[in-house]
Amino acid sequence: MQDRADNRNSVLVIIPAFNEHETLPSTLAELKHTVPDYDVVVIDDGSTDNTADLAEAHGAICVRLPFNLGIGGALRTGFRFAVERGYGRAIQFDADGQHDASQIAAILAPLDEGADMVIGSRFAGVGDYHVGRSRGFAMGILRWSIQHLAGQKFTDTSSGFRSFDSEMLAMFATDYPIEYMDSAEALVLACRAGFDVREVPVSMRERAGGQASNRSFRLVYHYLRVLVSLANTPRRGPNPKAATP
Amino acid sequence: MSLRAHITLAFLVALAIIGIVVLVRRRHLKAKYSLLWLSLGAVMVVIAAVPGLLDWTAERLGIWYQPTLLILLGLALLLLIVVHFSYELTRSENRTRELAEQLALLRLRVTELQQKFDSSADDNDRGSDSSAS
Repeated sequence: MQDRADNRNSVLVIIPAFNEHETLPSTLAELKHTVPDYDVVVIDDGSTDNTADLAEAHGAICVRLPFNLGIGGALRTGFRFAVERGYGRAIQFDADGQHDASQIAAILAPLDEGADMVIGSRFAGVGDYHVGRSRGFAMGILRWSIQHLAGQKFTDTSSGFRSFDSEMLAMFATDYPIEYMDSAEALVLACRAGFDVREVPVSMRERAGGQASNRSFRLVYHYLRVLVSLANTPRRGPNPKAATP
Repeated sequence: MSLRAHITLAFLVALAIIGIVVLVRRRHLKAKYSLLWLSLGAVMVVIAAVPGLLDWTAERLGIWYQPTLLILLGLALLLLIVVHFSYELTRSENRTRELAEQLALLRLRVTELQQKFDSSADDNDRGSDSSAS
């Protein structure tokens, strides 16, 4: 089952989960129904509820982190798992029911055309997604700085619905950002290293268990942190993708 | 500074240095960290031991109230030490994270191998068992 060669053509679904007992079972059931052939690994990020047991009870593989590392650490663990077991492709999927498993085909498709990472964007297509004024302003600044740093325009930098090919996985298994807003930083990191990063429109559901931080001073603090870490994203030396035209 | 100030300073610095050496000897403080504190102590020792040095230096630097130089020096060294601690803390946290991630993956591996071992040990009996905790 864990033979590296066997997994080359398989797809792994990585679900970082921290206290997600309410929504995880339905998310796993949906995945099992929509993409029955894909392996699913839940990274239990030091949950204090029975998230890990639920994951295993619903047929997923569960990696149990001994304490909470934050989303970035959980994802890196997932990427490591994917690389260790030789998966050719992986999908990052939220446990909270926000992502729609029927959209998986859409974010996998560009990988066949040579993309290394594909972002499922809420804003690139149809659907109205409302954000408050301060949040909208902060997101605007973030989008602007990312566009400049990455040299490429993205409409949804914080989307956690993504797909990766094996080369992208190999890089993220060692180099995934662990700071807050890892998703934005990961984008910049990948673009700067010369990976082919694309965005496709996807539809998403409303967050089932809403806990988006909306206290503005906290938002400001977090965005400042992101800007500092983005500004310091290392420019990688020899481009790994440049060697293979 | 007055002679009395010099004696007070020398006394305090001596106490601090003795304290740090004791901590290192008891292995409560790594030698690596003690070096920073001892170098702070060394600077203070020189200032306390050489009368007029502080005043002379302050004058050269254009500082009118000479004891300010003492405070400035102390602050600068403290800042260095604190930055060094932030650096060490970051490194230590990165290592902890690394360990946590590897531990989690290894734990899964062990569980899988254990299950494989158990099922091959008595594969004639039960066809497929899933609960093992």
